[in-house]
Order: sequence, then structure tokens, then C-alpha cells
Amino acid sequence: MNPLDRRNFLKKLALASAAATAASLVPGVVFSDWKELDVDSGDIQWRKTPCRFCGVGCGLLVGLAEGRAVAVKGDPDSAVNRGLCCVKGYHSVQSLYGKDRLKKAMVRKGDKLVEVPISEALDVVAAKMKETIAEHGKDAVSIYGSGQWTIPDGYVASKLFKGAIGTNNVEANARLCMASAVTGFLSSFGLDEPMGCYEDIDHADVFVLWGNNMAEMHPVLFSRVLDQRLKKPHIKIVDLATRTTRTSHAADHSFLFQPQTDLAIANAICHELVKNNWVDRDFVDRHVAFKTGKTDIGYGIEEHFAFSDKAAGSNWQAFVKFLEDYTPEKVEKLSGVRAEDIRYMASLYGDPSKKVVSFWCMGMNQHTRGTWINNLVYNIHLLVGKISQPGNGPFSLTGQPSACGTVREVGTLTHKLPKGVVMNAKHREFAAKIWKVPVENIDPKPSHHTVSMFRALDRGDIRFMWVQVTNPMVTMPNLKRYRDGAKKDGRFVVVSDVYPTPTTDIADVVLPAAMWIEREGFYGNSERRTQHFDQLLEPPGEAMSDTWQLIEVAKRLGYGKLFPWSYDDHIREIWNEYRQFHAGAKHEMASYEELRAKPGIMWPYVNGKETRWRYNTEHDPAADKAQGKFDFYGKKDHRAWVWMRPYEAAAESPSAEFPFWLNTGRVLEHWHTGSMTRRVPTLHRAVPKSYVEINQSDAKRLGIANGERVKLVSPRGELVLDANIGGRGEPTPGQVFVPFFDEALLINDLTLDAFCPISKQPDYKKCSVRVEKA
Amino acid sequence: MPICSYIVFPHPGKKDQLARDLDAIAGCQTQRAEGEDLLLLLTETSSKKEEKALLDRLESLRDIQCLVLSFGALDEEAPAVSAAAIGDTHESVGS
Repeated sequence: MNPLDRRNFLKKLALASAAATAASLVPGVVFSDWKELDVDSGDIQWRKTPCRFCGVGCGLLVGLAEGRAVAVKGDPDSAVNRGLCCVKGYHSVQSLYGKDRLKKAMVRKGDKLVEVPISEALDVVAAKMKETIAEHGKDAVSIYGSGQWTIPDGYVASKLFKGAIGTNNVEANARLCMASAVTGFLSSFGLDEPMGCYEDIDHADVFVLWGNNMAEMHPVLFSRVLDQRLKKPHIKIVDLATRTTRTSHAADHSFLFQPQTDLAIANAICHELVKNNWVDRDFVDRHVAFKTGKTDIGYGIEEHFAFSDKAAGSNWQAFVKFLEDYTPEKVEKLSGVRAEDIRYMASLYGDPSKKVVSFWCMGMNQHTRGTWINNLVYNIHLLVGKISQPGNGPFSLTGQPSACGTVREVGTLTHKLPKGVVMNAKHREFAAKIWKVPVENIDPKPSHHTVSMFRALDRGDIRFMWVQVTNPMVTMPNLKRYRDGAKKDGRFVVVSDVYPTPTTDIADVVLPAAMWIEREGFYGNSERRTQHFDQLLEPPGEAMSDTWQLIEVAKRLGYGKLFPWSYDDHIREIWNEYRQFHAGAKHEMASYEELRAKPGIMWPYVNGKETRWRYNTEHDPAADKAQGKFDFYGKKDHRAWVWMRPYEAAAESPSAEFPFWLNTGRVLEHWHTGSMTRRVPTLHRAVPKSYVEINQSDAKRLGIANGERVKLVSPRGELVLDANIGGRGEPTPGQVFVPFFDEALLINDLTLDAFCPISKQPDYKKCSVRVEKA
Repeated sequence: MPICSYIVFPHPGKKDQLARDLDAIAGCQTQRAEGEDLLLLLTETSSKKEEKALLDRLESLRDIQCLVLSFGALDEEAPAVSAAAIGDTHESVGS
């Protein structure tokens, strides 16, 4: 590119970046003298890819010049973002080029990690796996992956560990981020993943955000919501949260509630729907069944905690009786949300002239009753029949680019197979046939979910763990226990990553990974959209894709015949094999060639047509029209289940010694633990370190000034941070909030490893702390 | 040859005057937000020294309440990326 073109190009890119940043700071901002940013240049080749970061799955066009990624713009052909980008998206390619990028494999020799050729490191990994299996059995080895795994990564990991080695020690960090959404979908509908799609945003009149700071966590989708409100001023946005955020400021109503009481609020909304005769009785009679489950179900804190729920049939009368405990007045006392505001929310759901979408993400999922609160929001939509139609539906947003595509669809969780579960003999037979392994290889018993797996590593039941594309030494709750456990003698940890992290620090072998567009792959986003990306760049040094690392180790373990593909076409071959699992109208996936050509395709993809609204007989080819307008075919009774789930308290609540709630979460600028975004100068400078948000009234009472050093103390640990008062977010009185992206300030040393007994997803939003001046 | 972009928050009611003042400075170009006290500022200078001088000048403008850097390209031949300070603490860096 000639210097003048490049300079012009950079100026336009700088302006586009500023506009994206401004949109994140002031949602809905418009620039009147805005000109279409044309960053085209003859010397730049633009190639499509999904974004590397969140679960929205924006389509990007990456500009390539002289073997480097030099620019990013939103893909106007992407149905997800229609050319928009957020600030992380615009800076995404810069995260490829941090100066401390891992380019060589390393093996621990004595106290030091020493660089070795990657082939030697892979030999060490395979030898250690063989040795561990020989000495301690197949269930002593494990793999811990991620919702950032590409679909081929997760598929090969599952086939190797479950199909070849024969252990169900396969988990992924998506257990920490959307497991409650999965169990919510399964228990209410019998099948996972949302029934609707992002197009619902274009049709809805009301958006209710349940503990979801969408302005920072899903900024492009939130821009679409705000854009609709600009065009249609009658649209209402309700922010129901425990903390005032940028989302609250952009919303029409901000209702703040006490942590954990969303359970009671959802039931109170149902109470009002029944009381005011807003229930769609035709829909309920035809399509809904009522169920009860176990109550007082515990929190998973005990070492070998086990729980399984049991559904019992119930009826409308019992449901009405159950709701009597949840009058708006009673729930106001518990939640802090005024009875009139609860009634207002119920009136929005209950008004037959309004189409309503409910969005949520971590607020409902990272919850010791995460499955329950998912069920309860479905209850609301089912009672009024506002589901599976354009503009009407409950919509669980995911946090990671392929939490759906890789973890939920491939099934990289201990109990899952690419289709079905390990406990089901027919599902095992089906998997064994496609994988070409003896069915006896697949263990019928799930082993460890994520928290249990790290507890097993600490105890010594697991001796070998391979971590790919995630950073558990920052993200595990009650972190100190698991860090100390991983470092014990006799444990062997392999880490595949792109940068040094606290997890590579405790590794015995570090494998440099090819990142994102340095290899070919697929992601699957929140709306069932599968997105292919080509290898656009050469990985640095000896960096290798996670998929190929797994295949190389599989060959060294003697399983080469199960992974016979050549390097040049292994991604296509893997896709063609994996796709067989989902054949049929309920989950048919597009061909490799179609996915390669388009910026993403939603499944079920039948006869060249995407299914936008599942269970709706007009739209879903798997739905039986004989069932009426809807067919909830995930359940044998073809009905969606309304569950009676009560309010139960959190695992740990504030006390005299620890009088504050601690809530943790993310910030707009940083992706999860910051290992990539903190290497992008603009993003790093914007939020260089973590902090603790304190409510202004609490800060005044404690005599704490903005920026002052304060110490947080929980029953598990302590941490000193800068106070942030009156900043971008403000928790309710009696609560503090700390972002978790900063590896130098490990807030998870303080959090509690309690989890939802059904989903096994930990609750990062609620434990107790004391606040002191440092 | 630095090219930078900033989000500029003017003091209330000063947006239009500030935009005119900024546009009058060599190497500065603004875009105004509709209905919000906010500007985008693009700066283009010929050296780091010149960029620093420009930044000092911007910081002296009384109508600016807050200035936030959004994008910076310092070297035309490579993206402006560097390791965050955090990386230097890791055992594996440079080994």
C-alpha cells in the first residue's frame, strides 16, 4: 500500500474506533456529520471471520496486508451486526501481536520452564498421559477446554477422551458461564438453546433485561435494541439488576433488587399474570404441563456433593396455590423492588398487544439456583404464550464465541456426547458408530463437572490435566484451593495458550497455540448460528492449533486410525464427520461448503432454509402442525414445562463479620481474564487495573474516597484494590462489585465455590465480604 | 507519524465552540455527536514530539472536561501493539 493510502486508511480506522468507543460510553449516540467510513484500499485484502470475543458472534472483515492483519471492519453482510463493531472487535487483530506471544513450547525442568521443539513437548504430553493411565487408571487424566475452543477443537477432544481413552473427564469453562441456561432449557423444553434469534429485536415492543449489563457485555446487540427504540419510540427497555450500569442509564426503567431475589420477583410477576387474568389459557391448556421438583437442594460446597432433580406432575390449581406466597407486597420486602414496579413489569408481559423479549446472561446463570431462575423466566413467557414468535421470547445470551457451538452442541461436558448423553445406551451406540470405536469404550457414567474436576486434581484423584484456551488460575472460584492443588507433587498440568498467564505459570508443559484466524475453524454463537473462518495468517514460531495438538498427541497414544485426516483438509473432514451427529430436522447443520461461503448459518438448516423460530409450526420443519401453532417436541408429551421453583436464600449472605455482598463480573474493554485485551494498548490504557465499586452512601459512611485503597476480606481471602465511587457502575448499598480481568488482583481468591446443584455452575455473584480501609 | 483518535467530553454548552476551536488547530479534525455533549477528535502529527505538544495544548483547553484516547497508531509499518506490563511478571516470558 502506498504511504498516503495507508495514512488515509489509518485515519479512517482511528475515527471508526472512536465512534465504537463513543457508542459504548453513550449508547445510541449518533454523529450528524457522519460519513460512511470507506476504509477500502487496493492493497488490503478483506476476508470474513466471526469475532474472536463474545457470544454475539459479530461478522468481521479483517484487512490483510503483507502477511499481517492490519485492520478490522464490521461485515455488512452479517445478519448479526450488519456492519457494526464494538471497541473489542475493532481492536481484535491487535491482540495477535503482543510482544510476549508464546511461539515455542516449554517443558518444566526442575524449577524452570525450558524451551523445547514442539514435537518434543508433544512427546512428553503423550508419555505422561500413558504413564498416568498405567499407574492410576483412565479416569486420572482429564481435559479442560473452553467456549473459545473452535468446534473442531472440542470435537477432537471429546472423541479422544470419551471415545478413545474412555474417560468422561472432559469439561469446559462454559460450565462457569452458561450451564444453568442449558439445564434451564432442558428441564423446560427438553432441548438446549434459544428458540428465537436476534431478529426478535426488530419485532419486539418491550425488552426486559434480567441482570444483564448488555451495554457493556453485548454492545452490538444493545445498539440494535437502541436503534429500534430510536425508530419506534413506544419501545420500552426495563433493566432489572443489582447494580446501576450503563445499561440502566440507557433503559426506560431501572429496578434494583437484592441479590438472589430474582427468583421471588419472577414468581411475583406470574402471580400478577394469574391474578389479572393475563394468562393465555388456550396456549397453556394446549402446550404447557406443570411440574414440581425437589426443594432445599443445597449448594454443592461439600466435597463429594451429589444431586439429581426429580420432576413430579402437577396442575394449574397447584401452581396458583404455589404463587400465593409471592404477592408483590411480600416480594417488595424481600427484594427491595416496589410492588407497583413488579405490577408494571407484569403488565408489560401481560399486555396482549405488546411483544416482549427477555434477555439474560451471567446474572441468571452464575447463580446457586441458576436452573430455577431460567425456568421461572420461561414460566412467565409460557403463561402469556409469548414465545417462539417474532419479537416474543426468552433469550439466553452467551458470553463466549463458541459456548453454544462447541460446548453445548459438540457436548464437551462430562455427561454429554455430540448427540445426547453418556448415560443413554442408544446415544453411546450412535457415537461409537460415527467415531468407529467399540461402544464399551464410552463410559456410561459422568465423572466430574468443572468444580468437581479441580477438587479431584487437588485430592489426587485426577493426576493429569490438559487446559486449552482458558485461564482457570484466574477464573476458578475459591481460587487459592485450586491453585495450591494444581501445584501439588504428582500433578501434571499441560497448558495450550497464546500468551503467558497464571495458568501457564503452574504448567509442566506449555504448548504455543495458533490463535483464531491463524488456523481454520468454526464458532457457534448465541442464536444457533454456525460461522466458519479460514486460516488467514501464519501462526508465529511453532504455534499450532489446539485441534492439531490434540491429533498429534492422539497419534502418539496409538489412536492415529481414529484421526486419519491430512493437515490440509482436516477441518473439512472433521466437520463432515461431526455433522452426522446432528442429521435430521431438529438440528440439521449446513455443509462445509455453504458455511465457508456465508457469514454464518443458523441451524436447524433444512432444505437450504434457516429455522428462525423453533417449536413454531410455521417456521420449524421439525414441528408437527397437528400440535397446533406450536409443538414443543423436545419433551415426549410435546409440551413445555412450567416449574414451581421457590425462592431459596444464597449459599452465603452478608453477616455481622462480613456485611457486604461481593459481586464479580466483566468490563466492556476486556475479554474475560484480559490475557489478550490487556495486550492491546488502547484497551489496556482504558482500564489498566481492577478496582472495587462501592455505593456512594456506603463509601461516605465508611469514610472512603474515590481512588483510595481499600481491603476486601472474605472468609477465604483478602485483596487490596482502589475504590471506584460514582464511576461507570454503582452497586446497591451493602454490595460491592469487582471486575475479574486483572490477573494481578485475583478477586476469585475471595469468591465461594458454591454452585447450582442441577447445572453445577458456580455463583460468582454472591458471597460475603468485609470492606476496610487499607 | 502518530495518528490518534479521542472521545472528547466538553463542558456543558461548549460543544460547538470547542469543535470550532479544535478544527482550527493544525492536525485536528472533529465530528460532533447529535444531542449529546460529545465529540470525536482525530489528530495527525508528524512525530511523537509533535503529538506530545499537541496533547499538552489540548489539555490546556478550558472547554474540555475529559479527553479519552481511543486509538493510536505510532508506527506505520506495524500495528501499535506491545505487551501489557502484566506479562513481564510471568515465568515463561523471555525464557
